[in-house]
Amino acid sequence: MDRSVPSATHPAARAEFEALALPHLPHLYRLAVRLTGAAADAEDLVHETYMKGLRSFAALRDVERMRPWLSRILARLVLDRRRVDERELLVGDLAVLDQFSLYDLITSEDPFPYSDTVHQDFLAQFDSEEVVEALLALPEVYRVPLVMLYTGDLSYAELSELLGCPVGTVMSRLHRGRKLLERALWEFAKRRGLIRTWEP
Amino acid sequence: MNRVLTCEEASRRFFSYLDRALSGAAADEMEAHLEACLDCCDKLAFSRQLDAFVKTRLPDAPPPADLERRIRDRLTREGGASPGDAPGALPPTADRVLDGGDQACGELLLAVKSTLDAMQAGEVLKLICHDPGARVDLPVWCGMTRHRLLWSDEDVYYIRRRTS
Repeated sequence: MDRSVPSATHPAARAEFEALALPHLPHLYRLAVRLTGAAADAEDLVHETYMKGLRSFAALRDVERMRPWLSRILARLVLDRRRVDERELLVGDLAVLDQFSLYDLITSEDPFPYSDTVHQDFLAQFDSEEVVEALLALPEVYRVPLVMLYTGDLSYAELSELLGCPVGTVMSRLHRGRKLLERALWEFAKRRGLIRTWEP
Repeated sequence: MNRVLTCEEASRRFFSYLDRALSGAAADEMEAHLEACLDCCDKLAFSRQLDAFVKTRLPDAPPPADLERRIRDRLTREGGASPGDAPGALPPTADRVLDGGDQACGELLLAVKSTLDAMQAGEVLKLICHDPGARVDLPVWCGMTRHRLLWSDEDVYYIRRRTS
């Protein structure tokens, strides 16, 4: 093995990186906006992703995997920016959360008594801002894998590598992330007076 | 023989099922449950709607028009020099060394080709050659053949063998 490899990035390598990586800018920017919720933060994040990508470019074995590779760098930056704080994981009783069912609540509260499609009607009440607000309120450990999945980026196996946890944990995080989202939508509906739940 | 799932167990796997992440036996158990349980079919359909609903409401803005140019500028400005960078900044070590001596372009490229052909996908070749024409020819040849020129300096070149 020869270990005398210098560390500078050659202009030829940079030109190749730009040619292969910059076509993925719209995708990375979209992912960044979804993960940060703010255009300025998204720009910073994308800048950082490309800088880090160039510096690690030589380590990418298969250039066909450029997009998921860059997406993973971006997600890692988000996760590292805020080291997961134990408090963030306090989302209430997990056993209760796991069983939370927006479907059952809509069925029992029946907010649109004359509708045959009460569940769809319920969802139709929400606009993009409310969904984004609910997503951004999720702790990062749930939000990052969920947004990556929704944006079509990574498989469960790749998410498990990104998050450094077994696939079983990825499954439960994706499940809980969605349950938290369901719960947030229910809370929105209550605040809007859509649901008149009797509370002691 | 598959296990019979309770509704509670099934509902915990709805999203993994929708994401096509359940393995053979687990997917079979889920399908067997769904065939027998109309209530879970309705709930699963709602989970699918919820996913589609969230996806269509995610922001989908295009990047600002000049972002690509600004990234290019920054890559040019800061990309080359990165002292003290993370370990990931270092190119990988060479898996093989080829001393091309003073061979001229044609001969040299044949030797490089046959060496790379004998290497594994993704491995790195360190090439030493003194033909000044190589500085022009090698990057072009790598671009055409989809091998990657990782680094070069004077008479030393690092080439990663293409993966397919």
